[in-house]
Amino acid sequence: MLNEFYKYIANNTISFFQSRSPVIRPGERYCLRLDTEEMVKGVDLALREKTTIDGIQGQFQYGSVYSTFTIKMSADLEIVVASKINGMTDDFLATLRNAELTAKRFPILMITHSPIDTITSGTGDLAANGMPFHAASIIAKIKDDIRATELSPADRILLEKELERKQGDRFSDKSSLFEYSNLLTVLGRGYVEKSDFAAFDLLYDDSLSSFSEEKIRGRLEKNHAIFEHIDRIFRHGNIADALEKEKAKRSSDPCN
Amino acid sequence: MPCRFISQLSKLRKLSAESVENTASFNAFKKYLHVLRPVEVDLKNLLNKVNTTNNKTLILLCGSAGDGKSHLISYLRNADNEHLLDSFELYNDATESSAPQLTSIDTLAEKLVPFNDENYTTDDGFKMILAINLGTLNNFIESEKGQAFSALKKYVEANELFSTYVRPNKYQVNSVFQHVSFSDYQYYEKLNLIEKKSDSGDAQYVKRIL
Repeated sequence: MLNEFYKYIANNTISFFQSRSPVIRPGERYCLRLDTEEMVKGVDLALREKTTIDGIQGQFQYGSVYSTFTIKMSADLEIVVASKINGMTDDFLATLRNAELTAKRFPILMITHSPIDTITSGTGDLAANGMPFHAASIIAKIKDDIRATELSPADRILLEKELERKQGDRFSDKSSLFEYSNLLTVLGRGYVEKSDFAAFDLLYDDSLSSFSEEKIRGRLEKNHAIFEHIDRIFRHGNIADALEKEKAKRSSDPCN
Repeated sequence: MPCRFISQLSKLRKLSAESVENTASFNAFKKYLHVLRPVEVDLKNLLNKVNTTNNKTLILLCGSAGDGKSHLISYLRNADNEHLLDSFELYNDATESSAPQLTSIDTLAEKLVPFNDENYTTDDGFKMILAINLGTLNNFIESEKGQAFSALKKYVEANELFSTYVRPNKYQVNSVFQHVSFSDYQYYEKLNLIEKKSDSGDAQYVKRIL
């Protein structure tokens, strides 16, 4: 499921560099900090696949000790992609950051999951304000993509409500790309699957698409409320007591 | 095509090539930004003394991240007329590693072999200057690989490189190890234009701004 998420990050990374291509200067250094090594591996693989399909993949060799791929921008400009995978140390990323990569001084994109600042110092963080993976940029891009993707009305409204919910959630880490992984996965795929409902804190609703837009919104809100109620009981309450209370409530109010 | 002003301004960005120093080049822009500081004068004095001998020497240029160690080495190698580093091997960033799976500690232990306990007394005239953060230096001498460098550790401890006391950075006769530490300069001194420094040692640069 996360493959779509990684593809989404890879596509946007390449689009970012292509849009900046006229102003990128030799020797610039960029950094994309993700949460885990698994994410770094996923994005690295997605970038390799995308650059291969688009015919924009080059090769880079650092001495005899390291080789990786590049994103070709033009005859004189290629972005070297260095991912912290396969046991690579932060210290070696520092070596690559400091080095002049080829005589043409290729810029570098370092993809890391390291919590320390050694690597991000002296680099342009792709999650910084104004960059493509800053929370505000991600939200704006998701909004655009929801509008631009050919989604059914039910899927579109579901994603819009999910995005609203994310923005209003005081406890989520809005700076973490992973927070948006479910939304980005669905957008990458182009439709909502049954298994997505639970990821969006919803009970599966197979008749959602048969209602009007206004009713869909209402159903989703009610669905969320029920899901959260059940979730709270499962996490913190006594299930037997809660069921008793629910039963009693329903007997006293048969319309509920 | 961006205008020339934007192009120059871009060099000040955190992600620009100019924001990280390497010893291979020192362009006109970096030369323009260079400011003479007391630490440079002390390092040059030390280098002059080391160069009058043919003794084996390791100079530790210590400090914190971003205080200008690598810039100073690059300036002295590429832009200064005295060529004081011509006979030195430069080790510009002790946080680097030489291979993907190696740490900076592994790489330091490799590169500093001429100065380990076995070799440091072999006077072959080899000279090296090492830019190193105090934290990295501490990690190295306390590491397992650092055990082979007890003489270096003894020097670091004897000269209290990790203390908060400000000590003069002076040439030590008959010592393979020498040092200049950016931590031994008050912050305001880093802004002091030395040629205009008063006899009292006041920071004229800051006074002029005030």
